[in-house]
Amino acid sequence: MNTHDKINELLTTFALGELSPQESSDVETHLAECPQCASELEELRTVLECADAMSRLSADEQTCQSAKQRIFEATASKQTSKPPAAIESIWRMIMTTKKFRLAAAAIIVIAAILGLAPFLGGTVTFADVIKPILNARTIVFDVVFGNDEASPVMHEEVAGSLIRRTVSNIPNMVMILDLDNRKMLALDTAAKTAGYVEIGKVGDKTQNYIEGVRRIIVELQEKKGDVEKLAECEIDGRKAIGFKGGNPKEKLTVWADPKTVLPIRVEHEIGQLHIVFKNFEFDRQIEEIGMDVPRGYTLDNAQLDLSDAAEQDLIESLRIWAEIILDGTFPDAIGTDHYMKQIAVLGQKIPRLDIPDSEKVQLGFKFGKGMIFLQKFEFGGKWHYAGKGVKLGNADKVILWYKPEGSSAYRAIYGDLKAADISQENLPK
Amino acid sequence: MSQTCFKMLIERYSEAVTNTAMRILRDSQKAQDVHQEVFLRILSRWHKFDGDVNWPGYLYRTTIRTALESVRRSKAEQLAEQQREPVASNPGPDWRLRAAELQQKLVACLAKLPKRQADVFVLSRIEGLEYDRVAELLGCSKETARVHLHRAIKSLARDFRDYLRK
Repeated sequence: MNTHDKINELLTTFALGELSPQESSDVETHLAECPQCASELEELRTVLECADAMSRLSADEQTCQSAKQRIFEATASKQTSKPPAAIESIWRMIMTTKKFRLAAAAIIVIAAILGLAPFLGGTVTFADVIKPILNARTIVFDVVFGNDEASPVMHEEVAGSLIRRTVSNIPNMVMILDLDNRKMLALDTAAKTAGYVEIGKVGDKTQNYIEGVRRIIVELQEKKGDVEKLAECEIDGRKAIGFKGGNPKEKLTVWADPKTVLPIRVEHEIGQLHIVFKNFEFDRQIEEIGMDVPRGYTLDNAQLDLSDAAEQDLIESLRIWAEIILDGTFPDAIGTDHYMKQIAVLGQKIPRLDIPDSEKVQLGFKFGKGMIFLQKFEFGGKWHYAGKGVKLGNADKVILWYKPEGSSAYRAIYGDLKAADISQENLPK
Repeated sequence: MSQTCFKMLIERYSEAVTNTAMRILRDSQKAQDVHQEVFLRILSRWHKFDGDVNWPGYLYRTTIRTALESVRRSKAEQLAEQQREPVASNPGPDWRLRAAELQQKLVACLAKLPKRQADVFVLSRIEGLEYDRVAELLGCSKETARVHLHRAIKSLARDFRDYLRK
């Protein structure tokens, strides 16, 4: 190969700036005396400059919004769940049909014949165990907040964006959430009363707990290699394999039965909150979840709105906690898990208060609204509670500080329930 | 996967898909059409996806290919052919100024490239991604991505030569 041919071969690399200084110098020397190579280099540069100009283009916000809106409208009426593939149909048979549940062992043999190794507990991967969480049309499970297994249990039936929720320490109360329309229907099954509550954007992160799990799973799928396989252990008397992954703010651990490859326990750590999901049932036939007031119920027309939860609501809930639940002292700790435990205590104390019934309803609502505001920074924000043992009215003690989202300043709430900005160096440890 | 996962996919990647389509097509209406086609295509195959999909890679590839398909469909190539005559009989310094026309020609040439070369060229030169990321998105080695890019640039420059010298 002569010099011209050699240099000609290097022109693209030269145009891309990928040559060593020595090679670049050789090319430049040749270009000065070879019009053909100079012309070809000009053509290569034209292509690159043209692409460079295109790279600076972007769609305006209106175009992006309109594109998204169009696809949402186009898919609104479409059914995403197609007839299940072989493994899914076997799965569904096991989960939904009594007869087949009893014959599960036989079906596992069929799965083996079909070559569905993961079903038999061969090399089970993270992708295998998360499938039911992502694919199921309905998921039924229990949620516990915090590390205390004796905490109240929230039982959830989820079908898309509709959730039916009950809580073990709030008897006779069923909550139906429609997260698409940001509404909740609360049903008192003993008094046969119903009420609608606006939940606004709080539904994004703090109401649909399984969606939070799905969100992390999707994140983990994109960052292959960031999922750690855990040592096999025993959970509730069952052998379990585990996978753990996440980001600096959130961690997710999925434990699954190696034989069925179905998740049996999921742990989600968000900021200071630890959420445990267990007793999963995938694709179980559940009673239809609807937002209409059931026959025989009376609709309470009180306007309840959780969508605008603010600092003042948190203050009000702390007042209720100290004044009504704890007789004048702030609690040892706060957080969703602690709020959940106290709801039942408050429920027992409220009927004894000498206030009109309408105020009693508002009291419970205000307590819950404070928790909703707390969740805005509890899930990954900066905050600290220091109210243990502090008496209500103590203006010298900061009982809680937090950093509102998007703010550079900190806010402090004092024992007399006044709130003010506070500098970082004055934050109590 | 569930309907909520599909929604999540749209929320997460809608803007990126629109932007990539816009950079290739330089027309907001056409970019929206491509966006629509890409997500409807995914929806039609939704039941086939498992939990192990490289979504950014899949979406980039589908967007690039759908956009280039639309170029072929809308006979942009034919349009570019017609525009050969009036551009310049002799390439002088002013042809650089015809940016929009050149970009249109470049896209028409891109639509004729082998798919893999077109993918790499768009990701590397129009989306501005490093070889490592391009390789990761396309599931190939960094060296393969580099070879495809070099071949694509050479082919495009050759097409441009014919175009500019006519």
